[in-house]
Amino acid sequence: MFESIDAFVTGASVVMLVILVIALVGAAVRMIVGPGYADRFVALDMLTGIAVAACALTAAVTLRREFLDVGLGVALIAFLATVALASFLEKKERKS
Amino acid sequence: MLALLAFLFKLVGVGFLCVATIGVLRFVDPFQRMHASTKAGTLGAGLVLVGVAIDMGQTDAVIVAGITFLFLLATLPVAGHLLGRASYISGAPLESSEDALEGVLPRCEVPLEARGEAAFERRMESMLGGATDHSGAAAKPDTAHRAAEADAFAKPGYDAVRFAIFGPDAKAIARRAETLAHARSVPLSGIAVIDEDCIARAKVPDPGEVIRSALARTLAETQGVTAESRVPFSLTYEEGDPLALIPACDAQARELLLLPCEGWCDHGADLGLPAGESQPGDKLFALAERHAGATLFVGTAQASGPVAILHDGSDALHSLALWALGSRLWDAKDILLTGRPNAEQTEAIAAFAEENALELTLSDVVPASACAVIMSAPPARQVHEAGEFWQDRIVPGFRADVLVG
Repeated sequence: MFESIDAFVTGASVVMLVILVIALVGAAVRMIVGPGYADRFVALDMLTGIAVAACALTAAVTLRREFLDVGLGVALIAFLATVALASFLEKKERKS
Repeated sequence: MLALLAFLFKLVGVGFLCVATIGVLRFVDPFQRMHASTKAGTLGAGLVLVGVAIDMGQTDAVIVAGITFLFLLATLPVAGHLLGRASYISGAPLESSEDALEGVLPRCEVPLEARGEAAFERRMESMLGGATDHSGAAAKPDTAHRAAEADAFAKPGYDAVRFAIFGPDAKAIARRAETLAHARSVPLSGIAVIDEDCIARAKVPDPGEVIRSALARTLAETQGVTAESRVPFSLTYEEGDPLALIPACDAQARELLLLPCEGWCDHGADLGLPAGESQPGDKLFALAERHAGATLFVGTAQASGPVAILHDGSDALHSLALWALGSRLWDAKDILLTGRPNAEQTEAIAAFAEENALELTLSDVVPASACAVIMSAPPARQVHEAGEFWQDRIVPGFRADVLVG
């Protein structure tokens, strides 16, 4: 009984990963299409959020906890990237 | 049981992420998209992390997942706020009919991506338009005064040259003033003022003495130049309000005022003013504003390019330009006309150029190599506005003379 649940949960995690990849593609589409810089930056934010979740799911599927560290790293970089891009948007305005 | 709980967490999390993605794809403006990505995205990623932590069960995995979760909770609202603010300021399109932030935050009319090519034109526009804007903000001489000023520009030349002595280095400006005064054989006067306001606001002990000794050093250096002056030279030393003391108020006196491009009556002394406070030098352009007559900001660079006229189409600037060219303030043989002069003004300047054997070019851009720019008012309110030196607003890297009315 428990074995079957475990197998089900792992299988479901793989399915969820595939769904997340579709979501990643969706966010990437928004990033490519734009139309504005603000849209692209928002999409990047979304993209990294999904990437963190995907890292966590990968860790659960493969049972390697290193992937959680990767997720933490991605979260850190995402924050810095968003802050840098936001300040870029704001500075650009002041100059022109 | 725990596995099921973890599964539920992960499922709900992935569901939220999918909903957030659909939101990012389908909402109509960046702000609505942000609403989807920051709220639902954070919740989704957080729930997936919690699910995985329950699933893994090992202490180290739980700790790392917990740290990531907390980090996401702490940073995503901050990042979302910053991004939203920046998008609003940069003018990202807002589809909603009402703008609750109107008047609270400055906002660009055109979003960043729409700027690009037309950026230069708009920059020019704001510079030319900025002139009128500028005069509205500060106390401006009345129209009669303006008319008198225009009269003073009717025939070329000036009857006196005065220059402001701002420490720590005033040699270059003194030399320049002496040359200009000698060219017309008119009297030269130097004005050294100590700003009372600076003394009052300074955060160092005995600021009066600090500034006075800084000025004394400057004066000693300047003396090397003024002692050899080929025209009568007078030096005025005052303590008080520079805005009242430095500019000449009588337009009939036809005085040319020379100012450095930056600096103030604190003479470079360290007054320990906090960086956030308004700096004394911010009032530099008010001097030019109050001066009845032309003000020349003496540039630090020696350029060999043309004299550029940044024409805003007004009569005041037109007469100033003709006056400056007629007075031979610069030796350049080339004139460059840019901005938006009307046909009549263009013709007048072309006729002037022909008479004096000067080369006239019409152009859309002020080259960085221009030896001087003639414009109606400085392109900024402060010497350093938003971290940008004011001359960079005319054209980046430009450091030569600027003449304003």
